[in-house]
Amino acid sequence: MKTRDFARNLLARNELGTIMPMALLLIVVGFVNPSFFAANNILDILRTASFAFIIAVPITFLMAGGGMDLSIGAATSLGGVICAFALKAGMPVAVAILLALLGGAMVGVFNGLIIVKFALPAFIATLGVQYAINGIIAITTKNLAISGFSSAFKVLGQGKLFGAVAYPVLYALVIGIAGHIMLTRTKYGRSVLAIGGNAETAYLSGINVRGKQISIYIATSVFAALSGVLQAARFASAQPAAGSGTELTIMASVIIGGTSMFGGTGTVLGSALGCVLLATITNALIVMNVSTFWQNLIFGVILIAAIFIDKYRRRASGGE
Amino acid sequence: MKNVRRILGFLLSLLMVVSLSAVATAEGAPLKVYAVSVMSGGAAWGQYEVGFNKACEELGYEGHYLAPQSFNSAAELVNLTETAITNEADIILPVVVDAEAFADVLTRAKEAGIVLVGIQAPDDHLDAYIGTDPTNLGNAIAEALVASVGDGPIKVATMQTSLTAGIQQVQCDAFVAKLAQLRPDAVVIDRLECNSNAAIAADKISALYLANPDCNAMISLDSYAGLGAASFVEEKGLQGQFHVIGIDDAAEILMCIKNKTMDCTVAQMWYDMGYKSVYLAKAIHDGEAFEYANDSGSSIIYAADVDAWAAQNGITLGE
Amino acid sequence: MDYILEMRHVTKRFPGVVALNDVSIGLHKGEILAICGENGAGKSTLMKVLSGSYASHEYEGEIWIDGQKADFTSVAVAEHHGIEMVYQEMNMMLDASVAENIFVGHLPGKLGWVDYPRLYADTQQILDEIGLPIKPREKVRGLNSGQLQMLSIMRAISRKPRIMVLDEPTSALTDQETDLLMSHMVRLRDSGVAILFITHKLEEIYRIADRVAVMRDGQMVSLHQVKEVEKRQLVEEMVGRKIENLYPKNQPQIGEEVLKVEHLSVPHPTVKGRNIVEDVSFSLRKGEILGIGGLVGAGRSETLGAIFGQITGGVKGKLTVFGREAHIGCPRDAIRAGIGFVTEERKKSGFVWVLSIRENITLASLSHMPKRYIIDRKAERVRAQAMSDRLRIKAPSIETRIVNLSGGNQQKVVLGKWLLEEPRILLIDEPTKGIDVGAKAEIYTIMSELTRAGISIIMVSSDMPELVSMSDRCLVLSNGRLTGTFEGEQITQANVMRAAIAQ
Repeated sequence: MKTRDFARNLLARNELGTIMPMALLLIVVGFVNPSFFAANNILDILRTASFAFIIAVPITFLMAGGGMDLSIGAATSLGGVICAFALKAGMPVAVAILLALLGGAMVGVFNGLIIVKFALPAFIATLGVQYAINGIIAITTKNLAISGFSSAFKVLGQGKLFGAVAYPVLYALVIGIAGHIMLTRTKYGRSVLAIGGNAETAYLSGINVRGKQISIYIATSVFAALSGVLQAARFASAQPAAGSGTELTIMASVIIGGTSMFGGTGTVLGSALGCVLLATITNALIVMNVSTFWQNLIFGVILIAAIFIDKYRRRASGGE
Repeated sequence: MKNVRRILGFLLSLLMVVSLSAVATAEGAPLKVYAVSVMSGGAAWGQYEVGFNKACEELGYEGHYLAPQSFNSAAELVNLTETAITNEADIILPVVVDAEAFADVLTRAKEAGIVLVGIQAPDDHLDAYIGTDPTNLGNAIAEALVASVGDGPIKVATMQTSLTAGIQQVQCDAFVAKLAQLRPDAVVIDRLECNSNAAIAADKISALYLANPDCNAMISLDSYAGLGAASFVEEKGLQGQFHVIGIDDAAEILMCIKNKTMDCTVAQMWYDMGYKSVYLAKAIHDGEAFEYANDSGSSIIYAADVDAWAAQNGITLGE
Repeated sequence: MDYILEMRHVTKRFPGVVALNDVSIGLHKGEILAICGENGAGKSTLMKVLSGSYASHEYEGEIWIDGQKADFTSVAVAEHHGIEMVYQEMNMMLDASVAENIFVGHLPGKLGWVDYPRLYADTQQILDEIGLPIKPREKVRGLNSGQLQMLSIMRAISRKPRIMVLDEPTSALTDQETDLLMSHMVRLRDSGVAILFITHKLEEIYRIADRVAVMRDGQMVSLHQVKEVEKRQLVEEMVGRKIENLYPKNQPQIGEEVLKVEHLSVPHPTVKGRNIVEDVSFSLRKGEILGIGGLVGAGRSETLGAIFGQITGGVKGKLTVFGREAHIGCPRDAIRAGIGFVTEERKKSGFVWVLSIRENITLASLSHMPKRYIIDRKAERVRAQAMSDRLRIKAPSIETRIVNLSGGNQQKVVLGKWLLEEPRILLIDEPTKGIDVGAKAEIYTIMSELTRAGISIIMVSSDMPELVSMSDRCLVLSNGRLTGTFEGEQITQANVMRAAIAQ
């Protein structure tokens, strides 16, 4: 009886969709090439996942609240570029970062207004914003990477605690814990889940639906810009295309982590696992010496397997 | 509200029509030259554009620089070439990334009497082409690698934008062939792709190194690939043990060479390519003598050359 | 005389409900038979049986056409027999032309090509015949709902039916359009078409119908020649539902006025220039249950929605809450003023289905909880558990997801959500819709307890016994206007029904 309850609890966990394929992957890669488990490699994977996860935290709120945002990749690039311009203009590091986040916030305000206030479909609206931002970046940078930063800035992305744990992993940890507490323990988080589950009910229950939705769009773009700043610091150059193409993989990580595409459910822990899973797949395939020609195919198969397991789990736990 | 939207929509479409017809009615004596490029701006193509504009200015030509929104999309390039024909171009400078896809539009351009000078890639429909010959470039990279590694064993990975980028495939094949000729004992471990993203490049080379600890070099056919690999070398402290051969001469790449995280870079002469292509087209148009194939060449930049190169090409290096 | 259409002993059951109970009725060629009855009498189920929406194996009984047994296995079969339906909700292709909408599925032409000149000519002919001032090429999107309704009637006519069934066709029409329709129906009848006309407007019955049947609780109660029956008798037959003993009504302690609504007008959601609530004024007193009766679409839910700030655009009127004028721009304002709202559609606007009982029940009172930003989990559990116990919600635990509950328990959770918020005025739209009898009685008990505790309730109900038994005072709306106010002994089913169908 006890074990049965335990099994059911395990099945009911939202994060299971990522844990099972991950376990499978780890077993396989462990057999093929045990050096995968070298501490350095694990830390590398975590660092890769961190850049995505920093954006995945607000995206978890966004999607649990029933929204979506295709402009995060562009906002990432924008954050790096603004920060780089400010640094090149001789501003102090803190001011430059603040300006980058402010730029992100402006994107978020714009997204929030057109989607929430003017009720444009988020998919197209944020796709348009994505193009517009990429255009602005192309105009201002002529698609040239901006480099030549002080080491005080570079250390933000390149530095390591105890010479092992990259700073971005620490930032991601802090942001993740804060996000987890916000989503599970605060009135704000509860309201977001209610809005995603049924916006009409939430509105009639006295929740400020629009205000909350706009605030999430702002947070999403701000954190995307932050991720862009950190990537610029890591490579000592702000690349105009730093974030392009990341929007879908980040949303995929969040969905694999158990957040519903239609809103109402989601956990930050699940999103963390989703980001780690995607980073692990890419790394593990190379570590196993899988040819690049095969990698995309296998990547796709693992993604589908992950959501399959998730679907099965929901049915097993009597969800839908 | 509805009316306002309607009026706005009307005004927008009016604006589009007016601007389009403005372009269409701009008739005049100067020759119209269309560069159909794969991207606008960027370390490489940005210089190409500058060279192109400079030559047009000198010759008094009307130069148009067209580029698609998504990098390297053959379909969009064909459409842009189509646009150039519709706008009664006298000269078109296409980048034939895919011979099949371009065949039809180039045939029609030729029938319309348009001078066609290809950039970076040869094609049967072209009057002539200019560019870094992909084979020569691959050869140059192989030579740079052998010179950098010295007498030790060579276990090398290659990294390009994507495995579907045709010209890069030719470059890569040439590199592999030349390397086999120079150093029969060298091993090419894998061909990687990075989508022009340094973070992906760094992650992939790091994982590859883990799987193949004896891998000691990477050559780049994408400029961000080299950047990512250099960052990998810096983080792992592998300066002098892991050799990175970069491509192009963007400031951040030259910085990597100065910092010893990259051994050298193979610079293509992008400015020259843009500049000379227009003069080549002029020669064809005016019925003067010309060569079909024109290699704009490449040069290998080592740490000792960086400062001189930067000064000569007007590149500002950072800290 | 022979029947062109006959239903014999038709019984249609839903889980727990008999929607049609042994209904037999016949329709003659060239007559208009009206069917009337209150909300939920079984009229729309009857429509669905006739249209073939319910296949013949889904109900008991038989349908006979021209004296022969017919097997209505699908909508197509019914159409094949010459039956055309005109529904209340119109399903039009909004971006197609008037002509295309009328002839959809029967476009003139050959080999997949449409003969447009003929299409437009035919349409023009029909439009002229009926006297509707619109053009065949016009896009349907620009038409008003009266014109749309006329269009769907024309669509039915264009198929040259032998039998037409119309479901309250005049509810969206102006008087002028109604006149047009009536005269056309008479013309159709005279040309031999048999018409089944579902309506609750007695005036229309007396104007054009030949016979009238009354339905109640899924049964055919009576059948009269229109000339031989008085209005009063029809009303009495429509009501008279049995009142079961499940209303624990005690003597109310009614106090001072807590809410006053003056000259409330709410624009119609789809018909431009028309109000769905028109100049309605009333007041609510402490500890009182104020019932609002009327037919579906009379503007009852919209009245509640406007008070609560759910509907705001174009709403006019003055609201006084606890002696102070209130400006309610959104539900939050209403909640701050001490008002709660249990909506009609639980699933759509009452609860969040992915959340647990606990999370749903505390949703409206999050701001009352201790601590400003963080949810005090212990306090939340205690409150949710206490409310769940008080309302006797039957569930394994308060962590159970609300989707796994029965309708009655879901409704209790929604009620509990508002009670935790401690409102002084509670608006309840259809308190027992889709709930079994046992849970109904419990809901009534809770409502009585609330009024004893000094809470005032406005209850909209289509359930006549519930309305009559639970209301201390009862308002009746008809076409958006207040057509009756009853108190005490005056609250009877007949009085309410008379006011509900008053023009």
